[in-house]
Amino acid sequence: MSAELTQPTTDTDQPMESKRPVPVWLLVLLFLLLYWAMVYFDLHGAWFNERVYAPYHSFDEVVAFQPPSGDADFIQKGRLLYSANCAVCHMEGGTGNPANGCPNLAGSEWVSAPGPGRIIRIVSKGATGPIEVNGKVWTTGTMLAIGDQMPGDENQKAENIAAIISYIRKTFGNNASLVTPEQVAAVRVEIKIKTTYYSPEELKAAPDK
Amino acid sequence: MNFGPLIFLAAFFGLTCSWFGFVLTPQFQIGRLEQTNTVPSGTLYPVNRPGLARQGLGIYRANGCAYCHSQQVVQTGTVCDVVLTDAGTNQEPLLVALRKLRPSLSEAEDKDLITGLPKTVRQGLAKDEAQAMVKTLIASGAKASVWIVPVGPDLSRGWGIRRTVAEDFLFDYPVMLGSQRVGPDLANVGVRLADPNWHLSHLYAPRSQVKDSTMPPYRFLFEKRRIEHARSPDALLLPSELAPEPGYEIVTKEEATALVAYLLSLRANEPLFSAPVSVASAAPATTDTNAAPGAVNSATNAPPVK
Repeated sequence: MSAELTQPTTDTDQPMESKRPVPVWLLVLLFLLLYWAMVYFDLHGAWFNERVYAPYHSFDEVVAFQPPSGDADFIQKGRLLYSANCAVCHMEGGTGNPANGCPNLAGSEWVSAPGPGRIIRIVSKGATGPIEVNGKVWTTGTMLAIGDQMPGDENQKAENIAAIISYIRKTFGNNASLVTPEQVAAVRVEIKIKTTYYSPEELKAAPDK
Repeated sequence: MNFGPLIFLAAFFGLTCSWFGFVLTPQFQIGRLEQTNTVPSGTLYPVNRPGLARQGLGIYRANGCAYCHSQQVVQTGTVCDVVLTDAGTNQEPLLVALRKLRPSLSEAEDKDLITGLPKTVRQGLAKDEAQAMVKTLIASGAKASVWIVPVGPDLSRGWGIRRTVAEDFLFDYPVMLGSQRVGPDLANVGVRLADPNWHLSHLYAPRSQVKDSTMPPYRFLFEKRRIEHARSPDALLLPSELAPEPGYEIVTKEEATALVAYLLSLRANEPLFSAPVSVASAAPATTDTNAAPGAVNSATNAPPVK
């Protein structure tokens, strides 16, 4: 037998790697990287907002770069909203529909009044007849509170209502002033608590500004 | 010592992190995207591609078009232009204001500038600077507005007016983003090259349309036919050196028609909230609700630069 094999061998005799602490520089580097990642995310991440793409860094920046909408865009928006919400009864051409008692918008003095106060009230809260439009009395129709039923928060409602009213005041041969979302919002604050449809008498009592 | 469990845990941790980062987070972020509205005109975007174009997507995929063509436009920044839209009635204060904004221009050039509006007065400004200039112009009695202009190498090549966003691909499956650009980007090819005959000739013989094209001809999408009674209306009009012998004509197979319909439906150029860009204000009301999406072309609608 050779000499080596006579030696008693145990596990403890085998070479083992000694335990060494993680080097300090590596820990420092890790934390520096982590810090850099945080800063990078803060500058570029926009909190995973799906509407923020490069080169924009935050939602506010995207909002700031929205192109200002001209009058034509506003009326175009009103046209789309009118088609979706109003044209079923008042018809695409604004002619009204005698079959269900919906008065005409074309040439209507309610639509083209110098001040939009009354038409904002009608669109916001609805109206019920009999109502006289251009000398003709419409008895059967009832308009629902289309404006109140619009989706979105109060600001979006005001903007949508303003777009619709601006559209109907500028088309069908009408040519009255455009209505701003601020005007609509101001009137809607006054009529906030009203829950019933407007009657022509109530509308005439309302300020037409 | 047995390192098995540790290696397993490390691999598991690595794969889990990737799955969270590359699968779950994007799913939360854009997994429920819906149709959106263009800004500011408010039309619905995107609309689904026509049926033939959806078949064309399959042809695009089958022929490996995405190996050489990307469909992703990169935008590196956004600048603002100042656009003068209306000179107003009294032009003296406007000319004074313009001289201040454009000191390099002579008086005659300034006068020239305020005819034939709208015109771009200044280009490539920061948002605040442009807004200040617009205020100056409005104070002088004119009408002016800030024009939002995305910039980047892809956009300066004419590959679109804005970056592509996830919404552009909402109705596509699979999404043909592409990863290499041996050929040009195709996200806006339907706007740039709106002529179907150009695309058909280009597919049959690329160099007949683009002189130094490296694109292979896709002649198997076409068929050579003997002219029976009269020329087919779908026959390609080819230059003499490519035309077949007399009595024969080259007509498109369904695949080529579908592929071209798909290419023409690639029009990712509507102004969206997430990719703001100024385009000429909404077109006058039309009754055609089947109009192709993105009928706005910045190249023709943007005000001329002065």
